[in-house]
Amino acid sequence: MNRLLSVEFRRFFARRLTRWSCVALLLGIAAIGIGTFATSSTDVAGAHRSAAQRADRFAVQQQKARQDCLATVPPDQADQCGIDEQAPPPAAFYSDPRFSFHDHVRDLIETGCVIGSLLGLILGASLIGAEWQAGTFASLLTWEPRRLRVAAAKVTAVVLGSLAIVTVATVVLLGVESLVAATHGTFATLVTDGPPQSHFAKQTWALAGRAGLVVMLVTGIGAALALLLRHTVASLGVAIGYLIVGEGIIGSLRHGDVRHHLLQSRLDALLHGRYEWFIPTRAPDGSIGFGPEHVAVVHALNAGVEALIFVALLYAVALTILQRRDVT
Amino acid sequence: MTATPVEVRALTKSYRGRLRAARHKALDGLDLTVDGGGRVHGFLGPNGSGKTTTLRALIGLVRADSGQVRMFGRSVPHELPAVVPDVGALIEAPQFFRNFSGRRNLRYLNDVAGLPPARVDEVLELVDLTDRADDLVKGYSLGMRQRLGIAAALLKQPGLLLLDEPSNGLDPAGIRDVRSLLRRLAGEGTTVLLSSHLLAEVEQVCDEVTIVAHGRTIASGPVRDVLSQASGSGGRLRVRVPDLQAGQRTLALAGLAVAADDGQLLVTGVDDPSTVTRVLAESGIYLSELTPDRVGLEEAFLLLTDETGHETGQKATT
Repeated sequence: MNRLLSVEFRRFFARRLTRWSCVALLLGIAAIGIGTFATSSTDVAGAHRSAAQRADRFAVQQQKARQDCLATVPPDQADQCGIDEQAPPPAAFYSDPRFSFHDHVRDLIETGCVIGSLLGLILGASLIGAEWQAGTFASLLTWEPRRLRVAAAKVTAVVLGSLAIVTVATVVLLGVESLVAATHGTFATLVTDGPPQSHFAKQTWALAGRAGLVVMLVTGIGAALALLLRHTVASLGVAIGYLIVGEGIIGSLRHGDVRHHLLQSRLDALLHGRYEWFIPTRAPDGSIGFGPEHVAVVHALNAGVEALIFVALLYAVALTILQRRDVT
Repeated sequence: MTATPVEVRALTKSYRGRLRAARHKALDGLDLTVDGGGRVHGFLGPNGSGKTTTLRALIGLVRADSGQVRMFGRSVPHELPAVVPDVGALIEAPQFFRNFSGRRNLRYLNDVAGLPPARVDEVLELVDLTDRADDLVKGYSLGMRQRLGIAAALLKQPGLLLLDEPSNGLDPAGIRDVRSLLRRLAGEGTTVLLSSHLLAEVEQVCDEVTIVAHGRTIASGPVRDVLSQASGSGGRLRVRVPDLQAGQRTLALAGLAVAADDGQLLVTGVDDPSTVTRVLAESGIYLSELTPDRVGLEEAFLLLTDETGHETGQKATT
């Protein structure tokens, strides 16, 4: 099994699709880094000056508009012209020009997870689907007739390989953004009016871990479909078709309530830590309750277990058929 | 492994047709025995006769509906993992990763089996592909891919080699090379099961042959025996005599089946050639030439499978 696994890992990383995907990811990361660098600045004093100038300009325009208004309306309606309104302070026009690593790190990880999942789906379906189409899967079975072993080695290689690529890409992205934060931004939070964020590092690591699980699950779905359908495009078509069309149709049942129990919502909950939806309940007096007791929540652990059961069922079907079906 | 390399008994396999089409019977009680000890066993049959299905069943790619398959005494497919290290297979067109080089493709297979890395270069040399080993497979000709397929099948230095049309796409020199390679491997103790349409190839290279049609075994045994079986019971003799009509009359009176053919007499159903000599001599006719008339494998194949691929019904395992 180890030899088979080693060969599959080497083959996975030697594939052109894998290599081009890595190049595309690096180019994307470079583009994001350049964009962040170009839009971030440490000139806080300049930003304050600019805000003060904008505030002054706004005050002048407001004053002129007010005078124009007073000239056109009867005196008894002068209050329509906002004569009592104060000009907004310069702080209202201030936007911190610095890129905040702290405030963006979660977005970066979540974005990496979404892109990584899509990439994993393609790599998972392609590694196995392309082999079926080319006939090399059958050739390999003449060397290792234990089909479950062959399938296990391929799925393990593509799932862990995709996870490794996405992890490295996310780390590189965070590294690039750290560099931008260090030279043209800040590591501190710029959010002053939000809720206090405790355990930031712990939560960020947890998010990264959950993002990795999502990537693995989605890659595993692509690989399982390819084992079942023996075709890359068919596998991708079924996966994307189910997630977009299938869940859309199924989810619309029971006034849209079903969609909260499907795979997308579970992956969403797994990534973000929780998934909430409102359950409108009519009280005896006819009013609709909006309290916290009317909000349903799925936590990451439950979502992860349910998504895992979904993937396990898919594998049960795919491997049973793989074992029984002829290879012609 | 000393047990019989291949033993197939009453193998049946049918494939489901599309939609409501009836199931197609690919194998219908096929028997096949390939003895060991470095022999080349030809496996002949018209298109769709079940040759490839049989090879696929041997290597576990298709599951038979019923019947028994044993390789080296072990039941297939249940004990296939124990047998596979000693079996090299080239089933239909060899399939490789097109964007990898020939060498890399072989290296992967070599590593799956845990063989020494040097073995890759040895087999590349054996099939004369060393010069192009680092080129991408997608740039290979059909013949080169076939050579690579044979190289892959040889990697394990197998005791049993299953080859399905190995000469496909090869030029005459390549076909000759494959033929001598197979003889050499057989000389070194490898047993080869060679499925082929090239009857001349089978006749030249094989020690034994099994002919199949419609999923059933029509004839099996040493090539010579199958040929004589095809020419009818007993041998067929060509006899040259001074007086063709007198000779024909004499032999016919003696109860022998005789016909004039191209200035000679063609006598069939003769167990012992001395019978002809004696009958003619007793009538004062002295033959000037008596030669056994062997049918070629092609003729035998057509006779046994009735030209259109329908077997004659004479199943005789020698």
